[in-house]
Amino acid sequence: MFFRLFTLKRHVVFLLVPFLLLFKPDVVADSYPLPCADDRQVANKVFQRIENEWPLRNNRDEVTQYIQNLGVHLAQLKGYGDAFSWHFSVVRNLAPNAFSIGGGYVFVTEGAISFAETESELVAILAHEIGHELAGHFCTSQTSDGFTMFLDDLFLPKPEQYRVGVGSLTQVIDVGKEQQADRIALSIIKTGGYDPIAMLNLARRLPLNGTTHLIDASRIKVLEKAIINLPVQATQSSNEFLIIKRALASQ
Amino acid sequence: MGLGALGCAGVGVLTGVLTGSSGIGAGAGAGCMALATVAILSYHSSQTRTASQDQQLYGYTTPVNGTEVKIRDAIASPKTVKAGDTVKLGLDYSVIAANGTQDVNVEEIMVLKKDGKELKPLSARTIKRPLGGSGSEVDFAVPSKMPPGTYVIENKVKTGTSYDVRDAVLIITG
Repeated sequence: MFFRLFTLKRHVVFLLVPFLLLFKPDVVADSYPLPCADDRQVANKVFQRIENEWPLRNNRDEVTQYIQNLGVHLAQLKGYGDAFSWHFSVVRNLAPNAFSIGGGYVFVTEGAISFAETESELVAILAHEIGHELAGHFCTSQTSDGFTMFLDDLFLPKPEQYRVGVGSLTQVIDVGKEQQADRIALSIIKTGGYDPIAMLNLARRLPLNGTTHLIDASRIKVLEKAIINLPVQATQSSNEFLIIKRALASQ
Repeated sequence: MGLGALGCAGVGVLTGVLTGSSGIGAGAGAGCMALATVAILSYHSSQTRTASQDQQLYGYTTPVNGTEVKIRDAIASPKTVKAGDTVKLGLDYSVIAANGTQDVNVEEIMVLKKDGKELKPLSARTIKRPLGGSGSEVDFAVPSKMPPGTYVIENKVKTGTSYDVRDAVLIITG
C-alpha cells in the first residue's frame, strides 16, 4: 500500500481526472507557491519504487523525449520551467492513465497518449498533472490530513476524497485539489494556444464511472459549463505528436 | 533436443507451442530467405524467485489490484557468435499481482531486428506464470548464411494491459 512506504501522508493524484472539476471559468490561477524543500527527497523515493515496480520506457526513446519536452514546455509557459527538475516518464501500459507524485515527477501511460486524439488533449492531460505539482499538492508542510491550506481552497467545499488502488499505490483523489489542478491546466492550455475544448472532449470519451477516472455525468456538465463558452482555438497537432502516435500504434 | 527449421512455407513465423515450465524443444520455422531458417532449438522456463524474494530484491510491495510485468534482464549468450553457432537467450522478468492471485497468463514474444527493422518474428508463446520472478531460456541456431553484423533480439512480455520490452544484442561475425 502506498502509505506503508512513507511516514508522511502523501497523495498520488491521478490525472485523467481533469474532469472532477467544479471550477469557475473566470477563475484562473496564475501564481503558485514555490515547491517545498522536502518535496523532492520524498518524491525521489516514490520514483525509485515506481521504477522498480512498473515497466517504464527508456528516457532516451523518442516517445519519452517528446513527452519530456512537451511537459517542460508547458511548465515554462507559466514561468515554472526551472521550478523543478521536471521528470516525465512514460509507463508501458495500454490503459489510459496519468499521475504525479511531487518533486516534478509526472507519469503518463502509453494508453493515455494513444487515447489523446489531438495534441491539445495530450496537453490537457499533462497540464493537469503539472497543475498538481505547481499547486504544491504533495508538500507535506502545506497539507494536513489531506486538506489543502491554500487561500483559494478556503472557499471551496470541504474536499471529498476518493481512494483508488492502482498497483501497490493508493491514489487519493481530492475534489478540491482536482479543481485547483484543473484551473491551472486550463490556464496553461490557454496560454499555450491549445484548444480548451480538448479537456471536454477527453472527459466525454472516458468511460463513465471508471475505476480510476471518476467521471460521471454531472462532472461532465460542470466541465461543459466551464469551457463551453471559451473561444475555440483552432490548433494543429505537431508532427512530433503524430510521429509518436504512429510509433505507439505500430508496436 | 530440438526441432530444426522447417522448409519454405509461406510467412515462416517461428512459433513456440509449448506452455509447460520444463525444458522442451520446440520449433517450427519456415521461409525462403537465409534468416528464415533461424530455429529455436530448445525452450526452458522456470520460476526463479518467489513473490516474496522478488519483492525483497527489487523493493516493491504487493499491489492492491492490477497486474504488472517488468523485465529485469535479457541477454544473448554468447553475445558474439559465428554464423552456424547456437545462441542462448536468457530472459528474466517479474510478475506482480495482487494477493490471492495464483498465476497469470504472460505472453512472451521474441523478434529478430537489425537497424531498427524487424527481420523476423522468432517466437510467441503464452505461458501461465506464478507471481515473482520467472526465467526463460531459448536456444537459437544461427543460420550458416546469416550475414555478419549487429542484430537485436527484442523481447516482449505482456499481461493484461501491462507489458515490457528489452533488447538483447547479438553480434554475428563472419
